[in-house]
Amino acid sequence: MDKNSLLKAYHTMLLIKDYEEMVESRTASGEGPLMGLMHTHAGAEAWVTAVMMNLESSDYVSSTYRNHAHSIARGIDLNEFTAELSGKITGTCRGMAGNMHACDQNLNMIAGFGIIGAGLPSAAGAAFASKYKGADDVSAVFFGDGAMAQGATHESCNIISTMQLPVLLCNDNNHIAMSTHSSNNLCHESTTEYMKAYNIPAVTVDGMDFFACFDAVKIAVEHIRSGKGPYFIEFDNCRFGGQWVGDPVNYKTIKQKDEEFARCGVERFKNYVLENTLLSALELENVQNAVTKEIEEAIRFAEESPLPEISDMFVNTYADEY
Amino acid sequence: MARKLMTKDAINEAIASAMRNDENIYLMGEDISGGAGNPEVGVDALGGAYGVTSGLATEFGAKRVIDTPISETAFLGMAVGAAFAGLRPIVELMYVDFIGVCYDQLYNQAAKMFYLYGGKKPIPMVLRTPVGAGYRTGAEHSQILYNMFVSIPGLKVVTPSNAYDAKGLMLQAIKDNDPVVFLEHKKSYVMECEVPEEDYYIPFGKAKIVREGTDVTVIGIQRTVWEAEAAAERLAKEGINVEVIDPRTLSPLDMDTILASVRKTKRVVVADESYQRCGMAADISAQISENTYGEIDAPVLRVVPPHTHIPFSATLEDAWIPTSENIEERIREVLKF
Repeated sequence: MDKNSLLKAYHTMLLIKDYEEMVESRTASGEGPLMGLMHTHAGAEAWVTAVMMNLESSDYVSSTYRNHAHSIARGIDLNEFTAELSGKITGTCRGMAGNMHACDQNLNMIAGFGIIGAGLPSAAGAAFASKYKGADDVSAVFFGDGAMAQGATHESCNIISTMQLPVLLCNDNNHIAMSTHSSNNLCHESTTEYMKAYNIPAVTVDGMDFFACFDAVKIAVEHIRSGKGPYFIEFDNCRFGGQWVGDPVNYKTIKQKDEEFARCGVERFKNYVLENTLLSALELENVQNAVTKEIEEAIRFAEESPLPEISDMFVNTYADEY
Repeated sequence: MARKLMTKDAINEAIASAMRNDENIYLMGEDISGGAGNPEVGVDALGGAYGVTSGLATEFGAKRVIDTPISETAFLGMAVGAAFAGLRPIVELMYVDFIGVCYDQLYNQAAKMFYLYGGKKPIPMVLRTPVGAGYRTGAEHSQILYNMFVSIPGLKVVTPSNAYDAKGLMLQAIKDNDPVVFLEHKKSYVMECEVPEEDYYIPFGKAKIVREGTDVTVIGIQRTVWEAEAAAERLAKEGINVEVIDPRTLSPLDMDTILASVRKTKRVVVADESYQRCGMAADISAQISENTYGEIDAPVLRVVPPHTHIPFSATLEDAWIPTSENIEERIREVLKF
């Protein structure tokens, strides 16, 4: 991987990590400008970055209520994103989406689906459109181990395989659905097992290992783009935060939490590039400084932005005359 | 003499015409073609459970007229994603009663998307589905459920009562950039009327005064329009002049036309085949009451089915369905005030 790509990867991962730390801290303190319920995605930096770096801007992305990492790695305007989480009219979605749904449709992100598993049918539909138009666009959908128990997921996998749609199924397996471990919810330890039934090629990759993820996604995207149909990747990873900011996470032991933190993908990347002299300490420091500045600027933008007017509520219920 | 067409064929003609003009329109649903997967039969073996899409697979091919597995959540949700990606999907739900298994994709996803994401990408899609009782198909294949769609902001809900309106409203629905729920009354499928061969568009939110009258207004929807007309015909012989209004679309709803009529006749009966609690008649009655206090001479009366499921047995199902006799009775009641 060339130096620019390494720098880009580190920048994206660090931006996600530090952004989520900021969200945790400002939500906990209540100092603003963020408002409402927050779901953070710390722990997903490495694999989400690896997915997005393999996608083109014309590809489709279907996100979830845990959308910060997806949006940041997709290249969302951080100022607008932060304004969105702050309910400001300058937000990506005019303050109508908030943390639960924020994403930028202009980046071909279909939605931040608030219902578990609900993003798979749309991803299949965008892939259908791509195939219908004779384009080679890939449709990437993010969904967790929790979604593996949803009907929408299974219906979609069946139809995606039957129609051989260009879908990259990105399974965010952090082994915890809200407070419940996947061993309570799923009849397989690995979610790839389900794909045998759907005749969809599937692999498991260590989601905390950026390089392993990057290689796995590259193979998958080449497979899909060359017209060979869908591909499923199980990203074995950790959710460092709670289900929401404020969740006491008393369903994991301290030992379990420490074991998860020890797997941190950003630290692992950093150590790897330093040990192998792929990037210098100074280069990493420069990235850190840039990230800190971007987040500060985003908070300032959100703080200074106006709240919506009451009249803004009545805009966009319909696209056409009503 | 002008050409007559059955409602199912009028809908078919509208879809076919739109598909000829726009490559981005596709149809998806269960058994809308028929014969898919059996090369010895080929496509178009069935043309849908009620034959509405008959012939379309032959003309447009299996690429554009697609039979799906029995996965309503998947193919309805696919329409949302395909619309996002620039196509204009028309999806058939074989019976409105099946909305229960896929409602999330309609009311949470399709309906909210334009609003939630800042008005960037419209979701132009049409969900067509048959509604209505009277076919001895039992409680899970006979419902109306208008209210489940009308109550959700972001959706448009269309209810043609005849073949002419069905064609014009379907062409409008396909052209519209919002998610449209197009409800087709099963009984109307084989009813015919004059339908022009050329394309025409009926705007949403414009009610039709089906019959002019001065003594009482009856608001009907699909079946209850025909039943109201029959009641009006009988009462006319006694010198009672009934005005019958067909809203044609329930969302948007043309309250201006309804209120103008009610203010003229000062008496109103709202007749509806959907459930009586939180149903369309309840909604329309409330809006009339809110807006006409002191201006009308009688309470707003409703004709609605009983608060029970749709029974199978013929005598019971026929008693469940609102009839012209029920409407006539309510009209006589409202005239006593």
